[in-house]
Amino acid sequence: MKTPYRLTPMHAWHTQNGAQTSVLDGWVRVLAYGDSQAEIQTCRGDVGICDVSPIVKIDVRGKRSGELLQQVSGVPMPEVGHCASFTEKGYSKPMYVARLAKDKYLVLAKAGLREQLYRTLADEALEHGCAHINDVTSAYAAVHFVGPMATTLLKKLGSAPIDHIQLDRCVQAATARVWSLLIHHEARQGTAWLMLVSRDFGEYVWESVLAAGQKFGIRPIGMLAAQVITGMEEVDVATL
Amino acid sequence: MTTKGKRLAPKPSQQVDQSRAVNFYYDGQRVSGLAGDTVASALFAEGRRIFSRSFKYHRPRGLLCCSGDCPNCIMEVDGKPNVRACRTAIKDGMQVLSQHAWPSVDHDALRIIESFDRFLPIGFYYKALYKPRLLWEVAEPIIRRLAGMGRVRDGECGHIEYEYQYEFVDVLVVGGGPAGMEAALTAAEAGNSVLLVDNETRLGGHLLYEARTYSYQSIDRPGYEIADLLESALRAQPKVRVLSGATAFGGYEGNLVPVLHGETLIHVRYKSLVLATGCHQYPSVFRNNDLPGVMLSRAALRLINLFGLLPGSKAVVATSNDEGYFAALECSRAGMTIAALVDARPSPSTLPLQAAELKSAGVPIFTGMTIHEAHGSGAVVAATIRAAEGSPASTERTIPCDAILLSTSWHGNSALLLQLGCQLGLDKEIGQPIPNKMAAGIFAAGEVLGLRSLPTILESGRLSGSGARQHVRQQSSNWWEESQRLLSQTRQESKAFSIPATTDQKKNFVCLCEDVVEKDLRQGVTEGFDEIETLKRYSTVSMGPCQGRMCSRSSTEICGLATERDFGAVGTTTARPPIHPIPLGVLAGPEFHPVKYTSMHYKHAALTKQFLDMGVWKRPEVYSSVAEEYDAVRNRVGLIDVSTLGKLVVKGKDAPALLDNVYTHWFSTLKPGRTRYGVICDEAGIILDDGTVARLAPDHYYVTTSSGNVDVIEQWMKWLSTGTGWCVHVVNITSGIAAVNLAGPEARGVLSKLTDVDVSAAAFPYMACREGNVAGVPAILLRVGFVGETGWEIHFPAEYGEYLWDELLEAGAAADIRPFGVETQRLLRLEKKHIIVGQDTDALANPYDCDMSWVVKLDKPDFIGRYALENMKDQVGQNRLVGFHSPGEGQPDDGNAIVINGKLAGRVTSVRFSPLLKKYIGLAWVPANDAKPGAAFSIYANGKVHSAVVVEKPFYDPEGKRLK
Repeated sequence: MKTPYRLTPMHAWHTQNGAQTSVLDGWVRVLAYGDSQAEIQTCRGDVGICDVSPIVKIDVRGKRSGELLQQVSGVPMPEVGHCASFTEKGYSKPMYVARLAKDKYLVLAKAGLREQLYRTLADEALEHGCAHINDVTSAYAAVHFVGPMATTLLKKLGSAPIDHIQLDRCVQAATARVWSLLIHHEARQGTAWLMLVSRDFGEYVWESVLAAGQKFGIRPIGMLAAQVITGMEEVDVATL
Repeated sequence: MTTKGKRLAPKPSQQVDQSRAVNFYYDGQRVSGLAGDTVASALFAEGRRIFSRSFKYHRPRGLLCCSGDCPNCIMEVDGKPNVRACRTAIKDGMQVLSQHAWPSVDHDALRIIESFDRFLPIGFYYKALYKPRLLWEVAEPIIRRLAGMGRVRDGECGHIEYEYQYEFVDVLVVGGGPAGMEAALTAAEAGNSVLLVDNETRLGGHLLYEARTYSYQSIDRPGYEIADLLESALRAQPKVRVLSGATAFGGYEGNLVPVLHGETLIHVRYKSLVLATGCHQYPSVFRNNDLPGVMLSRAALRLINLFGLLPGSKAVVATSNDEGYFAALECSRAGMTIAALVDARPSPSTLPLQAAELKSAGVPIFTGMTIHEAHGSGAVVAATIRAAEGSPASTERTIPCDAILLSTSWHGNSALLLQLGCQLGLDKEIGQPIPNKMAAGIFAAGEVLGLRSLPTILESGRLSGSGARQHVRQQSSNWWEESQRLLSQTRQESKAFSIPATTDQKKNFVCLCEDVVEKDLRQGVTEGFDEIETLKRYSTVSMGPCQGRMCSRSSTEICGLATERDFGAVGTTTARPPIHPIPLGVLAGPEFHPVKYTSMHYKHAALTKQFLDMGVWKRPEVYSSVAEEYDAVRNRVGLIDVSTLGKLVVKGKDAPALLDNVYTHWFSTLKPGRTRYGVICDEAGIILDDGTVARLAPDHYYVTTSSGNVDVIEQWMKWLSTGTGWCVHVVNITSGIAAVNLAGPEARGVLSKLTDVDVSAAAFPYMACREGNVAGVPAILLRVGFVGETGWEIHFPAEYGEYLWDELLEAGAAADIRPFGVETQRLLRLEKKHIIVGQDTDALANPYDCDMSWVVKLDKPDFIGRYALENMKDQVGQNRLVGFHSPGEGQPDDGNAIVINGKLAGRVTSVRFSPLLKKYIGLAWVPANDAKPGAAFSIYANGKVHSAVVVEKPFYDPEGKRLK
């Protein structure tokens, strides 16, 4: 039997636009679109976007969901609309938590931790009554915006009050007329944004972002450039 | 008509650079203007006096307002029709064309239409050209060619894509005049973010074009100098952002004001809003008041002080307030001869110094007089004045002049106030409607509030800015009380005088956009349209490009006079957004057209080009042919992508209770590992949706819904669980889970090659569900039979879509597997009489009428719709959904009418040709009395009538043996 491979919703676009790919954790990932140095320069001067759909997304909800996550991370959960990274805190596995509502969280982590993290949380949930775990990794496309023009570009794309969203805050708003979750986080060279959208809209949103970003010098970037720009071993927000 | 004039000597107020020429083209002729000129000012400098032709009578029209308020200078600029020339800066090489005239705007042959005006009464379209019917067919294209404003030259002006932008501010100030600037400065003092929006390119409002002096900071300075000082202070305030050349064109709920800035539409949301929108003049109504040369006094001041142009050589200034004296003085000082100042007020001006200066300059002042008629053909050559009251005819005198400057009537730019819930009332002493009740968070300042003198205007700006600032902090303020104090002061300083209505003359224009004259309005009232809203619709007054700015007040007053009511009783017409004309492209916005692709989309695209748009989804309609695909599913095996199905996870110990409440069927009794079909109804028993519910664990259900309803059902479930205290959560995982349906007699064999799950009939019976791996991919397998064959829906993480699609096709190659599309699926399900909610049901369909009583479990203590369904149970509904077959030779289609005894009796919801039965089969709504098996009815399709017969059981495999 063949080994199953996983494709992000933007995969067809990547291959049609000259992406060099590699398989990591079962996912076909983009290394670069040709010139990774140019991609790095774009991120430093304009704006680059990276397809990070493989990052793990676990939906945790229920009255006791905060308790569950606090138990796992060892620290209190952030306020609604806030995010927090637990890379070097109590929990041994790095994760990033966005609190979407009083009893609703989205846990993000590196792609390679998908099963392990889900199992840990699901097992812990058994001890916490009303706390329910759902792996929604497949449900969302994820796009990372890096570069000084990222904020300006996002203001053009949707109705979120981008200027008012501080670091480690998240907001749910329409981007290119579809629902999105925007997370503002710190990167090695300035701030960056992570955008989650429904997977089915992934390719449409990707193309809309590129079209809207033309005047800001946008270009897609691969993992090689993203590693340099964001200072991560792998492209996700878990270790920010 | 052209009379080339020269520019006045440069002075600080001018916005033109007299040392730099800019060349553009007008109707193909090269025109040289100055940097800073608008199209209108450059053409005026070249001597042009006729700028457009009127809408109906093609009368010549000249510059009237120079502020973008009137329709008189509308032209085509670089391919864009209906551009206001007085608001458009010239650019080198710009192509400007006159419009709505033939052969030219100076000599328009269509002016002949005016000769037939007696045949063009108010309500023309309601009264003429309807008999004989053919007359309209002939006349319509001619009328359409002659009427209309400008031409859309498709493709010639290039594609403009407007962008959207979103801003969030503490205080939004609309209006960049003295009041607006003061308000912005005051509001920003406490660190609030302030956005000031002004439609002029320079801030200052009316001060920009006023050379008269005001005392400001204890020094007498000309208006434009004060404007510069205010702007400098504003620009130095870091918390204030200025958007000049931007138009705020509406007020919406949610504290939203859209602002058009260039080609960007900015959605501005504010905490406090200050409206310092000023006021505008409008022409009084007298005979030939539309002639070129009749101009508002502020327009004259703009020409003189901004562009260095004299509006004429000899003018009659008509006024009913002090402003007219200042205008006459400025014109006189600039070099114009003032032939007369006509003041309608019986008592002379409250400005003795200015009156004295005018008199010493030889200007005759006529008090208690007003303009009665303008004379001339293509331009003003004289004005007739006469007493405003009493016996006017005997007091008439005619004064030669080439300009009539009007400072007679003012109206606040209050449309935004009205749209945002504020109320206005006419202040007779001030002479304009002013706010008498403000909405929360809305503040007004300056002339829109009825204030006239600069000190009170500036103070009102500070008051409103302070009020807005305090509102941001959720504190109350006394700005309204203080503003009323300023108003009292204004009332004492300068009392307005209302010019009495003129006689019922022929060419007294009220609405310049639509060529509506006073006589028309009076006629409309006579015909019964005596309410201003109906009169507006009947006459089209105030419905043109100026949106009533030039005619709203006059039409209201005339309506009041004709019906003997005062202004308050007549009321005002509604000012809806946009309050300024904006291109439709602005509303269309950026080209975002959301589209959803399933994770197997590109595999489909490699096999077919025929896709259906189903909502935002793209779905393959057919790959090869319906016949081939049908044959594969019925006789071998077929594969269809059903990823668009809605998919919900319902988890929690109270999940069974929620589902029992939502669905008409039992789900708490469903055993883990089993699947059940379910229907969701609303409280009235109407079918909302259907789908399958699989129980994966005691507290874990996997629910599918129809493609278009998943969001609604998710919200419905969440709503119904709110406040119950239940431990249950609904997660919409539609986009995360791909799904395919593997169906056909060979499906079991194909699937068994790929999965570790025992798919034998004994181990995995019909309507069972299992979790396992398929080709190494974790999946949920549902044994269902929508298409009427042995089959499995395989649900799996979407990222494996392409991989698993290929694996299934490869595994089925030996069985000659075929992918099949939506069209084949529709036929297959129709043979089983399976309904599609939304297509076969409507807003009145309940399970009983759809012959689905078996899904309603009234033995449940309660569920949504139970009460209604219990009452319906023993009643015979008016209509029933039935299956039918028809040997029709034509092609009946979905939606065709059903005819019984020659009367329309129902409709076909789905119909297809069945290869099995060799005839058309379908579902249709028919009257209950005609729904018995074997009953006959007719289908009206494509002009032919086809016979049809009601069939009770499914057309294919009625016992369901093939599903087992």
